[in-house]
Amino acid sequence: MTGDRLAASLRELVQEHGLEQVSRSLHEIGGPDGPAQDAAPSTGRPAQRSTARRGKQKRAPTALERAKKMDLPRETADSVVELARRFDKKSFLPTFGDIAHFCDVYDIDEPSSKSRASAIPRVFRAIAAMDAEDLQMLLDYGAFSGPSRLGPIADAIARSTARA
Amino acid sequence: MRVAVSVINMKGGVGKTTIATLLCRRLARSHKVLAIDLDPQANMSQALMGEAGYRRFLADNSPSVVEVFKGYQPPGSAASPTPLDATEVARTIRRTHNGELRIVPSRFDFSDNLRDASKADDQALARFIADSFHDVDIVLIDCAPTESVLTRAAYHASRYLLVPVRPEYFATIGFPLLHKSLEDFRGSNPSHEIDVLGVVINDACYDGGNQGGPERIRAMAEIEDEAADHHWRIFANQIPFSRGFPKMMRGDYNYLGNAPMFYDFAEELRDCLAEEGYLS
Repeated sequence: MTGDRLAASLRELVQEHGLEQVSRSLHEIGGPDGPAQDAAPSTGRPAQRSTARRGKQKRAPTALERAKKMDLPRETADSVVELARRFDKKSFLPTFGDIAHFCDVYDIDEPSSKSRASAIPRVFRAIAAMDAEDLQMLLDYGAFSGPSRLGPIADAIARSTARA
Repeated sequence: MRVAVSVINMKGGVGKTTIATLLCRRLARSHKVLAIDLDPQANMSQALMGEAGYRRFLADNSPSVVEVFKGYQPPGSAASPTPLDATEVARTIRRTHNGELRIVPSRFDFSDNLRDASKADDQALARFIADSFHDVDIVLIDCAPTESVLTRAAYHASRYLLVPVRPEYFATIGFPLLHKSLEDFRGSNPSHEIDVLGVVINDACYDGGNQGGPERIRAMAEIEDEAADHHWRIFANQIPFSRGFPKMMRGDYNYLGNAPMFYDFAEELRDCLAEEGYLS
């Protein structure tokens, strides 16, 4: 019964968001310290082995760490670092879908692996090549930052009306 | 050569703003696009500028299409009225290797301003475009659904009209109104060439093996008859129904379903304009 409900819920989520996104989100929820660890024995793989393998893996640098190591012109450095900070906070290019769209718009080859982390080098190489004005546009308009909310726009309109 | 296209239909809810917005985003990858939001609801501005950009635009009291119709920038940071600066009114919001997107945004008080004016100048927008933006490839104007001074302003500023329609009952109710309005405009502006570039079928039903059912077949027949009566082309690429469209408008590119099929229509429109000598 529980299995049926779970299957129905998952089916609904897959219909709404697509299989890739649901899988990605499940992976993130399960992520190094999450419930996915509990599931390890049922796959037939010993939990100890996967923990040991994780221990050997080198952590990939975050966007901010990468941006800070880049040799950037003074006039663009702050903007690139700010975008990297937003990337790590998922307020810039929050999903792989946004990254794919960004790559499409700016004629960047889409990363082969569909993870945000693996896209960092390619995306930030392209960002680092932009001029100060283009970077400022990315920051100002919050483009590629995921879904907009209408509430804050309505509040801004109300404030503007009151001012008028 | 620059071309101006208004997205218009005298009927509401046909997808004018969605189509205008997505066309702007798509064409701006390879062309210099100037988007003009002539709808006081300002939804195209909100979609293109995003939450942060539109909020800042309001907070800064930046110039908009309202000032284009006024013809000056009212006193603000300056102590007296100042001339409009086209680069301030048409703000650049995205630039790529080959393209650029600028927008003249709209504001909620647009209709109040026009109502309060003793006689709104329906040629102000055309003059504003003519005076600047010589490097722009295409001007796309999102129109409000009801006929008003803004409709005539859009006509004055346009070479072509793009007419979205949904295949449903009442679909063609706006066609005779648009035809009459266009004929009236041509009558009083005989030197102005303006044509319907085409009709685009929006929100086309999924063809579940029966061409979308009898209602869609009836509506499509009416659209085809009306379009033929006025010698208006119907674009071959229909825009399908997709829950991806509202997500794209909101800036959510996570899972788009059928929505990328919109790009087939965008290509057809570009080819169509190229045949006329534009966007080459």
